[in-house]
Amino acid sequence: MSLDLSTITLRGAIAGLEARSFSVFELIRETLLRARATEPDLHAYVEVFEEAALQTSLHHDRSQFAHRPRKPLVGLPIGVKDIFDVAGVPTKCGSALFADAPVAIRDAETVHRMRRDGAIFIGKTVTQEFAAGVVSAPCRNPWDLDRIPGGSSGGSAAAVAIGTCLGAIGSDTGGSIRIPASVTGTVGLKPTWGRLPLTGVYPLSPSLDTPGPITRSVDDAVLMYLVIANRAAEVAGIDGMLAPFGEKPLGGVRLGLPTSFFTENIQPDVAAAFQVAARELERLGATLVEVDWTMAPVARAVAAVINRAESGTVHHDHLRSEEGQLIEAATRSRFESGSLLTASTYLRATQARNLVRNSIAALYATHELDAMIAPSTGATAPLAETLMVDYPDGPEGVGTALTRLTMPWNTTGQPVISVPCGFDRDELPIGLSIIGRPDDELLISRIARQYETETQWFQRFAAERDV
Amino acid sequence: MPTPNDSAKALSPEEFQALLAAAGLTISAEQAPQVMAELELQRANAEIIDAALEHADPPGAPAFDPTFPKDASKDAPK
Repeated sequence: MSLDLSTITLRGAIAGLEARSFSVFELIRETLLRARATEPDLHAYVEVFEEAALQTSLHHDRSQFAHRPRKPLVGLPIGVKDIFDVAGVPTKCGSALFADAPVAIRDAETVHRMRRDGAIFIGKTVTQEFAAGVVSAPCRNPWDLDRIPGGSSGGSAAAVAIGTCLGAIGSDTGGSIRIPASVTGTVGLKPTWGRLPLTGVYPLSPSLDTPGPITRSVDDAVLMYLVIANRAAEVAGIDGMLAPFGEKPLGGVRLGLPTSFFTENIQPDVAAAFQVAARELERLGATLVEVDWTMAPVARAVAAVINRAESGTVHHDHLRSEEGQLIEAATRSRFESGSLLTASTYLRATQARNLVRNSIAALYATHELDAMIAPSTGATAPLAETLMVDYPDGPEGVGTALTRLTMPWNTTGQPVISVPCGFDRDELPIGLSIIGRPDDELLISRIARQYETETQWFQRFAAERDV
Repeated sequence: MPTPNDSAKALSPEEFQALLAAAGLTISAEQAPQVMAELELQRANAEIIDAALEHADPPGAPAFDPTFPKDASKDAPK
């Protein structure tokens, strides 16, 4: 296994380290050199931990073979979104308000679990201010530096795509893992709400916030997920967990194919790629079942109201202080509007959330679905200069355009994995979402793995283009 | 029947400013329209929610089952 950071995955790096094809020090040094080369244009990181990462790599080179079974992430370069605490480093949340934040005393629980299992943190990745939005400035998209990487975990996705880390932690409140994964050609896993710890993560909307991995392959997403979920002992069985379902890779799998909402107001190239992906899944043995989830628009509205109301409450004190003026105007307006929503509006949204969850549960039950599929986003990466998306029906702002298809699944709390499924006419990546029942992270990953194995999309890396 | 969100429809800009002040928010004159636009978006969302709740099950309907049982009919009362 050669050390080619433009294409190597976490599991590829593990194989290389095991075979002693390269050392942890070499892996980390090359990753840091790549960051030095790409960061001036990409801006995926807020801060790179060069010295600490190199020192840790030397430690792991001395001890990596001492533990059997091997720690699952030992020596692997990982990025972490700058809303997660990392001990000894300030958590700035992409905001001038926290520019002088004190250093965190301890790691966020997710960071702790990964570090305990051997991960080497390369740096803090860029987030949209307080994780509230999809632009992630100043980070750009590795596929086209004139375009945004999506958000709010845009720095994490861009770093993974360019190879300045091989996996990164993000968070998803309205699509913030899946959107950047979709528009950077990476894999994003939003687990079931409430299953992974949020201790040490700066909140946006606590009843929706969900941490999860962004990686270059489905295997890698499962690897990171198991570690973060405190299930590292199961890592050795990943290949078995993600094995084909039968003679046909997806034999016996029933997938819901939405006939409305998820097929409306999306770019033609995205619609076409989604249709091709659906047929490919069918060819692999899945049974496609047309379903009409009429509550999807309600699910989106519920997510929006809950998101705004809860974030307005999180920032209650900031909005009433002079320092609060340091929050960017657009973000502040969003929080202020949230803080003005009435209690009954919020409570009715939570009532409707139960209604929405019952409706999707009934849909899965009625059609005996194992999962549903949908385009991850209705558009590919928009231009940073305009922040608009062009649809056949007219232009739309990026915030609404990129979150329309992701937010319903935050209301339901279901696990979703976004995987690459094609490219548009500008050679920009398109994402496919596979949406499971609660706690079916491994089932949707298994479905995604079959698709990954049988298609070419995962063999194209942004990092191969021009570094 | 009026819903809790109907009251927001009648807000004039002056009332909006008064509401902001009552809530302790210090918002510049330039920023107020942006906040109002955001609020308008959420009011539209609240109307979608109100419409959905109008057709909601009556109190006493089965609670959300997080396991998504595969065959709902098996759980239905005989």
